[in-house]
Amino acid sequence: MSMEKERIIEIEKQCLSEIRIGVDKTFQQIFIFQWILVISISLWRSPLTWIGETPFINPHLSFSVFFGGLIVFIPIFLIKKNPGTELSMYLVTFCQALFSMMIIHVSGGRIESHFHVFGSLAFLVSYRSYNVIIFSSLLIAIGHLVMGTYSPIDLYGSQDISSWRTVEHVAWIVFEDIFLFSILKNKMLFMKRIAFHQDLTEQTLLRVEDLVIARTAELEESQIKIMEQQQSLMQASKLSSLGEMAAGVAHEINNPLAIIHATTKYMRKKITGDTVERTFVEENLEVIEKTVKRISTIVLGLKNVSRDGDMEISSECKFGDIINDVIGVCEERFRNEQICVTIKDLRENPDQVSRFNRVQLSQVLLNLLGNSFDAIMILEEKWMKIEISEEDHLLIVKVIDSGKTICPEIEKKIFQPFFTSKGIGKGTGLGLSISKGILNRLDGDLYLDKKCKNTCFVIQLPISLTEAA
Amino acid sequence: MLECSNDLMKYLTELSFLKKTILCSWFFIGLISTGYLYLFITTPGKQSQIQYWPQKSKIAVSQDKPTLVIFFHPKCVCSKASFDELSLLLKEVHAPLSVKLVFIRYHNKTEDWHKTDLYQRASAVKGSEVLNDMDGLSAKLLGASTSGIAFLINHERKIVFQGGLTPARGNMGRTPASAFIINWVNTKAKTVTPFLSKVFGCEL
Repeated sequence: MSMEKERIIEIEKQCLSEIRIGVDKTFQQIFIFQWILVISISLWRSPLTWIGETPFINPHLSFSVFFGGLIVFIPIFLIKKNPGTELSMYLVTFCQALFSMMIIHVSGGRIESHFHVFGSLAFLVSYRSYNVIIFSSLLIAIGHLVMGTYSPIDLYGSQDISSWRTVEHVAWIVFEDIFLFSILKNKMLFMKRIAFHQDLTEQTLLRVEDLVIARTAELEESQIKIMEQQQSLMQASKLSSLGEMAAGVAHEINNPLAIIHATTKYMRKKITGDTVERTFVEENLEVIEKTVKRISTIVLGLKNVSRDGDMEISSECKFGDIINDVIGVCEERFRNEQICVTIKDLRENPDQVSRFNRVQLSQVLLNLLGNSFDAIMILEEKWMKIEISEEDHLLIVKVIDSGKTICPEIEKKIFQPFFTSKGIGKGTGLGLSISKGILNRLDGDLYLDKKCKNTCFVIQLPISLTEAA
Repeated sequence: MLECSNDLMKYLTELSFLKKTILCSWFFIGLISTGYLYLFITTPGKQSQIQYWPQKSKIAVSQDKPTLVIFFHPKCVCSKASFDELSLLLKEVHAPLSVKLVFIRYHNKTEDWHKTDLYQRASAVKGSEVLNDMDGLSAKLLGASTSGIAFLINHERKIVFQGGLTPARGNMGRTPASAFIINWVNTKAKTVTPFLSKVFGCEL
């Protein structure tokens, strides 16, 4: 037998078992009702029997109470303990047949009470078993045969009954059975169809699940690839930014070097000519020291910005230090283009130390400042503003420049990879999309403030996360 | 079907000894109680041995026509069927017949206790006379011990029939007893061989 057929049979069995449990439980209530009915009939017909002036409980009533109780409690107990079994089903059938005979008997063989037999058979169809119908019909037939032979008055309410009456009654039961078998056949067919469709649904579900697993694996693989590509692109973008900065940086370092060179030249001249005063030497040495420190700050800033941010573990630092790193790298470039950069820290405690991914945040800021630089370089009014504030446990960093607000067409695409409004060969079009990606990974965000009349990019970072990370 | 039957047999054989015992006991208790009820229904009351209507009896019998005397317990519900059967019987009797319906009366019971549905129905039977038998003295004299017992007496005080009119307790149905009474009265038969029939009802 194929797996599918086995499963269909299994579903059918399961379905049948659930139905039979339900029918068993319904019969529990029917039995109680029938028991009360039988007792009520006995009470109504003759509750007492008399010996002279002494009353006794009529044996019919005792029979209804005790025998009815026996019929009720055994199946009810069995159903409660183990519903839906073959035993409970046949026991219910047996007891139902007994109840039929009992109701006929206590009603004095009233012909109307025989309808209980037909009603019972109709109820028993709910078990969806041909055997149960056959078993019940056989029991009723045997009951009719025995009672019809030995006590026809209890069965038909009269003594003068032809033996053919029993045959007629059994024939009517067979007649009902034919209809019941037809109904049963349809029910079974319907159940088979349900089982078939459920099996089909299960198989489809399994196939879909397999497909989902395969697709998820593919997706995960793609995501890894995308991340790798993003990292490569980020690195490329960073190198591109650094390349763009290279001229500025060279100039940045070149100026202090020129100062050192001039100072040493001047000192040498003084040493060879006149007597050198101590204060003169100290003053000039201080200039050289400051200039070297300046070069050192630029180099450190460059080092911080150009590291691989993904490998960087977040460390405790002030957010102001990150700003200083970035400004240190670009300062000279901005100065050459006469761009005024202002930093405004609106936080209650600007020296608050938190955990930040220093490198990644530096890269984001460097990218934003670089974009601003490119945008405002050609303008008459050249300024940049960095505003740091706190709002609902969020660190808000606004990078504003003197440029006008970005037009809606560009605004829609601005965070898309490979989109750039810069000239050919000037930008990769990856800076903003990578920056947004970085901030999203840090549970933060990067967006354009449309309300601002100038160009304003907003960095949003959760403080709790930054503190805990 | 065979498979299911095998399942059932397997289930039954796998039951514990205690469960098997409970199941068997339940089955046999059911059978016994059914048997007891069957005996209760089908066991008739005692027959009277008397052959002639006693002279001492306070219930007078007719000298010129047959007399049908039936004893009733006022509370016997089963006797309602005897009444119904009597009503049918009287419809088929065309010859003169004196009918006396005798209700046992107990001296320590109230009037209301005796005035049952059965008593009211007896009063409504046309052409009948309702009598009271204080403490069942007349019934004892006749040896009548079961409610619904009927006596058919000819003009010579000979009891030609005694027994019940119904086939079982509380059940109607044409019995040979009814047929005999109708035939005997209608044909004014001279048969003196007494006809006996079983009587079902409460003890008087």
